[in-house]
Amino acid sequence: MSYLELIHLFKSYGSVTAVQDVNLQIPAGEFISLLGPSGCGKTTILRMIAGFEKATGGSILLEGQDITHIPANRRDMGMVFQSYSLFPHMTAGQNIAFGLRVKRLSHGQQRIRIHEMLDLVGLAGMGDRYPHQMSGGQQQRIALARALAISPRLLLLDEPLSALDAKVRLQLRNEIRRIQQQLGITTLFVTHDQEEALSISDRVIVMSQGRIDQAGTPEEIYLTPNTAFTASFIGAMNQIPGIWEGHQVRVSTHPDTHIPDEFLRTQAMDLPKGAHVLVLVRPESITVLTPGSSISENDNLLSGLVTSRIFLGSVVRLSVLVGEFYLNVDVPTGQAEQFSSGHLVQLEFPADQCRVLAIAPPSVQPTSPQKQARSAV
Amino acid sequence: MTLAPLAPPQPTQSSASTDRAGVWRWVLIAALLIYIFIPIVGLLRFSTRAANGISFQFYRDAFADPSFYSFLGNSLLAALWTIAITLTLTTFTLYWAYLKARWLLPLLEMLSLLPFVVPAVTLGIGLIQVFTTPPLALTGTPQLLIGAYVIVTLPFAYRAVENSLQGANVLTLTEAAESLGASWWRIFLEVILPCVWSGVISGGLLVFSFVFGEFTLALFLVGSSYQTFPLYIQQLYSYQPQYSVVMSLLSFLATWLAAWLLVLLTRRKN
Repeated sequence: MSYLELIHLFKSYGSVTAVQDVNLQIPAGEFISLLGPSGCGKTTILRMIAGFEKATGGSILLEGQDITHIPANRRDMGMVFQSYSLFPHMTAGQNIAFGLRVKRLSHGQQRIRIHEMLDLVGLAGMGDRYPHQMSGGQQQRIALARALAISPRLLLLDEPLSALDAKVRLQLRNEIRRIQQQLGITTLFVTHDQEEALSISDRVIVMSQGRIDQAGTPEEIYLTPNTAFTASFIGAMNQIPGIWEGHQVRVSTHPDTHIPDEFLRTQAMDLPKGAHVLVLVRPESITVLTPGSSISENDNLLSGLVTSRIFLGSVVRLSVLVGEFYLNVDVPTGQAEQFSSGHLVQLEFPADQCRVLAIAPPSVQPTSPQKQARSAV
Repeated sequence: MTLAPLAPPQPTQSSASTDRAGVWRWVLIAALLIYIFIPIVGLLRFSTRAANGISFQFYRDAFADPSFYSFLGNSLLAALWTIAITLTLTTFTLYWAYLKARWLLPLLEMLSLLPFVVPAVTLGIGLIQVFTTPPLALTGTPQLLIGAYVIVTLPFAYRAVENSLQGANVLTLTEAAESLGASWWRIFLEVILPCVWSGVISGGLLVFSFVFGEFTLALFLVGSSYQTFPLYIQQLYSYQPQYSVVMSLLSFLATWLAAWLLVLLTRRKN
């Protein structure tokens, strides 16, 4: 049985629907990330689970109990917010003790629990500090300790790392995962940062326009996106529209030109011939051939012109014009020197790295001078 | 590479103009202090004047008069009730608006300023018109006076409490406490109130200063049936001017004390 279950959950604000028919089952002890752009409904779902927003429709079950209409202060959930939400007039220890006092634990029990929690978040000995005497990262650790002190049934994290600088964010992210695994607490983590979600979650729920776009393990989400949105939102992805021709995809070209169609070998799909599809291939799956490179029989081979290059640290991202499409190609920085703008290059990528998604036929639109490349970054 | 020796700083035109600005600042401060203190010194001189030099006899006599304590008590009571009602109303309403109806805040802001634009005489006459006949025959009662004070002091309390609420992240703090199982009352008393306490105290002191020296509304609404300290001063003035001056100085002192406390609290907050 699921530990937490969302059944046909809806939330509307007047005529605006923030959450549409969300169904989700979360087993006990899982770390789930709700990932999506601003306004996709992820925080609204979290707030409905916490009891801060009333669901317009549907129900929320926790351990089989319907909690949809239970007030927030009786749901027994720990929550960490994006903004530092420590009570400013209380010390770190008093903040942690707040929930324990509400639960009427004795002073002795409170003291023990405060020490346990401070140890857990790595801030032993800082119980007497006030929030204004602590850094942002320390404050969020105390907020986490305060949420965990009451042994909540569910831990809810509403973008807790967003206000922190990059280095602290990385540290605290790992700390959160360590603590979650140590305590085995079921956790819901809301974020718009895909790297954050992929790195610490058991499962990632990608959301778009109030709906679940795709749910799966981080590997599934990254390697086998089921929708164009997930494909474009998670990492960089080239999306090439084409026509399914059985075992390969005819990459559509402009009907008025004499450029011959390209055929791409892809993963096998059960689709009717002539279906409109998107071929998805990640920039890191494409190799720029150099003299002496060997290619496999099953690889795709395309020629193109380098039009721009962006330095990204360990790799350089080339933008290559192939026929009418731009493809993003990641080249290790050490090898990128030879590929400057204006160079003709040969690109190679294996068929099994090309995922195919069926799409609706494009509507007829006035033609533009240069067909829009759909490579997403 | 060689470094050029450091040249001694030369007086510049901008430093000269800064000096001039400094002098003007002190001149202005001195003028302001003279403007404030000359009448007070005059009052002090008048209240201690005696045939053979300086005497504090008027002070001794004023404090010996039992009616002094009665009027002082009336004013203090009116001030305390006004503070309690105004601050309770303001704090609860604003907290509720911040949590549930932020769209109401501009309207509340506008309403809170209304008492400033209605003259005390107009308000007094209006209240008498409404509260003279049963079932609301409250003219002459301290309840009506306190009610009027609550209206008039609303802007002071509103501004002070609103500033504090703006600085505190009220919604998130409330939700954080709620998720920890706290009831609404507990959240208000243990989380929100301490966060806005300095604003509440500031508002209270401003209300006190206003009520303690307020004359017009007291004259219109209660007159001789509930005499406040300013009415007592006015009454004394007609036949014992020196006593009235002693009382005025006491009134000043009470207001200054409130202002001083306000400054202290604001400094602590900063």
